[in-house]
Amino acid sequence: MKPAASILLVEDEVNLAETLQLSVQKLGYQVIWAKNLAEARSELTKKRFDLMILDRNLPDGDGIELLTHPLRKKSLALILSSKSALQERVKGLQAGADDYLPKPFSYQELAARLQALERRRPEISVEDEKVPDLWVMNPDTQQVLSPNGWISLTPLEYKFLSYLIERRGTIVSKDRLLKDVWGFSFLPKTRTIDYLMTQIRKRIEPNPEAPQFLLTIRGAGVKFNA
Amino acid sequence: MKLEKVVTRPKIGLWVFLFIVGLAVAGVMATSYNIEVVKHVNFESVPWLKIILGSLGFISIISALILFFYRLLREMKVSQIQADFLDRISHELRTPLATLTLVSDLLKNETNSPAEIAQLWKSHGLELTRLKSDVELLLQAARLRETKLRAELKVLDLENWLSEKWESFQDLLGTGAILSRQGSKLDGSVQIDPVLFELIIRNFLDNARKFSLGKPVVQIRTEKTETGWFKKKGWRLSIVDQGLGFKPQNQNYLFRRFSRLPQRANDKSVAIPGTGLGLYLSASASRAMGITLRGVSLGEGKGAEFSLEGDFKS
Repeated sequence: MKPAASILLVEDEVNLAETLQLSVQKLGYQVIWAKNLAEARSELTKKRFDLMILDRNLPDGDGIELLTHPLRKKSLALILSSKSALQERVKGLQAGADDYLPKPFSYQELAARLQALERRRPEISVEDEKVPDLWVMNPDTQQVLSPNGWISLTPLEYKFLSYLIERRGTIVSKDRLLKDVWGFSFLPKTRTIDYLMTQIRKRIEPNPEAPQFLLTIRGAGVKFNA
Repeated sequence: MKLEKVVTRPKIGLWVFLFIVGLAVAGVMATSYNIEVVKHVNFESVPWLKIILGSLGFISIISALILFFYRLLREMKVSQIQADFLDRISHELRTPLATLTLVSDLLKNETNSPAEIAQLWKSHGLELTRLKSDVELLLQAARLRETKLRAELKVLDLENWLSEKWESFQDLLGTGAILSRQGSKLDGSVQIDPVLFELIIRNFLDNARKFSLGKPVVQIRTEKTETGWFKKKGWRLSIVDQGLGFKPQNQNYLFRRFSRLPQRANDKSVAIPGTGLGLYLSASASRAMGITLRGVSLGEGKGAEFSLEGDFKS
């Protein structure tokens, strides 16, 4: 017998999310709730989910963005959305969802759809269960695996990020970075590092406005925190 | 809801359009006649009236084309606004309906624990309130199109009023939200329409909830003011959130009907909630009560502050 399926519920409306959580728990599933895309991406880096229940109108984007996330790994996806028009449902299914349930819906229908998805749950190997290590760098493609998926970087961004990832957890001064990454023998006053960090954060951080990996330590330098 | 009335323009444009098209047709006929005449007759012998008619015809054709494309673009914009509005209103109504349906179904379940039942009834109450205020907002906006909003002013103690409503404001923000009070006490009587005033405050709080990425953190700041040459005593009530905010240059768009702030350039898929009616209605309600309404933000991602200012009743 298969163990209880784990579900990642992505819904920004607190009351609906809490009610959904209760409904799904009553059906015997384990639920983790993410309020937005950033939180959902972060959850995907922690464990693999059997099912994802996705809303589409999220404050930081459309839930269907998670359907193509590299860490989705055989998770079945059910979209619950107020976007009920035919073209929206087709869009969701074509993007990779396994089912699409327009709001409002009844508990019975939700339960039936989840059970139908459960019957289609694929066999998961030990390899699939493993969550890949984040921040793996691929020098051939100049890519890094971030919570947002595989991100392509420019040569300078790649060099800068790999330098910091190699020294993760330690503060590197901006002078040191200018010397080692840019190869400056003199130390000009420049905002280059800040600009580059802003560009990288936009792509690797789940929420670039509140960075959690690429951090500026005021008066000391830069730290990669992972 | 009278959506057609909201989005259509007076029919006079159509008549102007038809008139220009008629003029253009006449112009084309005159021009073609002109060409025929010019072909066979010495230019100097052509009557000036025909030359003028031909030129007018040409100008009319160009004007008709410009007007046609202008109307086409406007119609496209209107239908975009219509589609966008329907999409948003659908989201605003379907979400509480989804919760209410689910709650009703779950309440029929006999295996619920007392704590679960309490939670379900709480969700039920909150979503019902939300649904009611959304419907009320739509109805008010529709009525506002028909007639000017009228305030029924009453003298009341704003401090007491705030204390009475505090719990319902907290409920509106949802579980886990932080609502705090800052500033001085507003001792004294004010003249406001309590229904409209509550509608404005609830609308600000609802925006704070919608535009927060995490759990909403909202402050209600109150202070006494002195304005003008005679240092007239007044009050200011501000609602400060830490949500998405807006660019200062977009401040003027906020209070327009169906206004949608431009999305962030690097954030193509950000879903901006709301109907685009709340702030428009708040501005109309504050005007009806003779209260000043302001909305400021330090920028995107830096939260917003909406404040109401008025005078104490002497």
